[in-house]
Amino acid sequence: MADLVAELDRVSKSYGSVTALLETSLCVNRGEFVAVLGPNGAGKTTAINLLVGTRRPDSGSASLFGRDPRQHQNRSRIGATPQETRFPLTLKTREILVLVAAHYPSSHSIEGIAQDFSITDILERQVGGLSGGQQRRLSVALAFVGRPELVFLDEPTTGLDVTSRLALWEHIRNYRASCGSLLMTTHYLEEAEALADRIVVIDKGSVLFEGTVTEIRTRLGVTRVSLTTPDVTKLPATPMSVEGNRVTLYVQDADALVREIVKQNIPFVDLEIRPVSLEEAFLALTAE
Amino acid sequence: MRLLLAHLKVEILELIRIPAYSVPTLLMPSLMFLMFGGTRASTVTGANHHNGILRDLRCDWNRLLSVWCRNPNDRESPWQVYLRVLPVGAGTRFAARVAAAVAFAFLSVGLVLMLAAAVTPADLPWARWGIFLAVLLCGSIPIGLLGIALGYWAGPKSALPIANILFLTLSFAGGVFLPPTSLPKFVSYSSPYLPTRMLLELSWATANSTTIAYSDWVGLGVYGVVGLGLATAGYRRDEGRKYT
Repeated sequence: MADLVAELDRVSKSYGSVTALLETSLCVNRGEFVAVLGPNGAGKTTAINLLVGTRRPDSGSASLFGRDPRQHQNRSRIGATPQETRFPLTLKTREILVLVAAHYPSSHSIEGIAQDFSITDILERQVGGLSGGQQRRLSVALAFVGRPELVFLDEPTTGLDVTSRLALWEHIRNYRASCGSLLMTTHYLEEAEALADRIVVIDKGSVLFEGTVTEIRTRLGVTRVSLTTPDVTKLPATPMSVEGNRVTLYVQDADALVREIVKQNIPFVDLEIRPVSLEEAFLALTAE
Repeated sequence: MRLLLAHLKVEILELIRIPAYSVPTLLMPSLMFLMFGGTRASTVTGANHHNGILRDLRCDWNRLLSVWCRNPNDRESPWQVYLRVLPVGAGTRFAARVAAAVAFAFLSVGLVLMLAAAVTPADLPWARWGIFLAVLLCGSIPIGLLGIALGYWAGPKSALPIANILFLTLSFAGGVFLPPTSLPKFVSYSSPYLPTRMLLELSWATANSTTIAYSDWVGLGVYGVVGLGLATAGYRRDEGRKYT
């Protein structure tokens, strides 16, 4: 039996009339990197909140290393990023790092963690004077400063420029080398693919499916092909939508489709091929 | 304990660097004293004068109690929400916030006392001032806890106005602005049962070395227990909800 470091067991959680999670189950095994992928409002943040103990499930159970995350002692082996990077404006970067590090039995040196996250030059600056990107790097650094065994990252690279994003991915990969486990939420498929062993796709409070990166890519890595053709029935694939002569298809391999259409001499005009956004992929998925 | 100190340090650092907060909190009471209390010095006898200073201090103290009510505004701040993730108990975090407020109050009142010693003929042994301050501090904790409880139970936007009105009313009815003997009849019936009045009686008795009514301590203790219970229940309730 794999060693579970975090588990949600059929949890449901509602806020008033809004159902955030419905009978959802999720787990992280030791040494595993799990990405929870879903559009906004899918329930990703609620899942993290339940696992780190800041919210209580209405039903079902959440556990960290087999224990209740709501007891603060059980959180000494985890790190998490703040959901929104709004620190008290008058505190200095160093002071915040020192405060968080003080909670853990063994932590990285402040200089060390600052170097890893490229925040050495802002250590003595008050948070109010930092840019959004710098604050975000600080908030991710906070998740790692306590040498945790399990890290929770809630949309860690949202709002970061490409360089910062790649640098962050690099650091997360380095963390893997120390055999840590990680659960992150994101709505970028590329990010999930770049970092995770296993991806859990969730929407509207339920897990749609989960699998390895390859499996997800196969399910979600679709391309949208649109064309105008007089004879819809001759097409080698089933269209998603047909409006008059305008046909839209979602396929894995657009090139193969086009080659096939050309080979069969099916007439067409206004061919349009573009990659599909995550939201569209979900629509295509849930329409199955 | 170590974590308590770590949180306390951060709370104080955060506040002291906000001039809009720290300057009025520390200096206003001294200013009020100089304007209102200092002028009494030449016309009253020692005992009355002590009472005068006490009343002024209680006024200022009441304002400082609004510091406890930082809590309603901060309850929802992303920073406070984040701190819940750390492996530290809510009790330690509470205590640090309370201790920070007390530290500010201490500094502020200390300034007033030094001014009083310098500017007026008030003549109280330093030891007695120390005990007086200690009584004031301990006795304010139940009232502070009630403030924190209010912060959790009232809606986030209404907690501060409600707290201000509530404390103003309690202070008036407790005999802080007008002497208890001058209170309107309908107020004076309930006055002895209010925590603000209990604190006032205790601080007077301490400063004037008259008999302390232990019932006042018991009463404050009860308010303290109630306040702590309500605050804890309010905190736990937070964990189940989200705010719209």
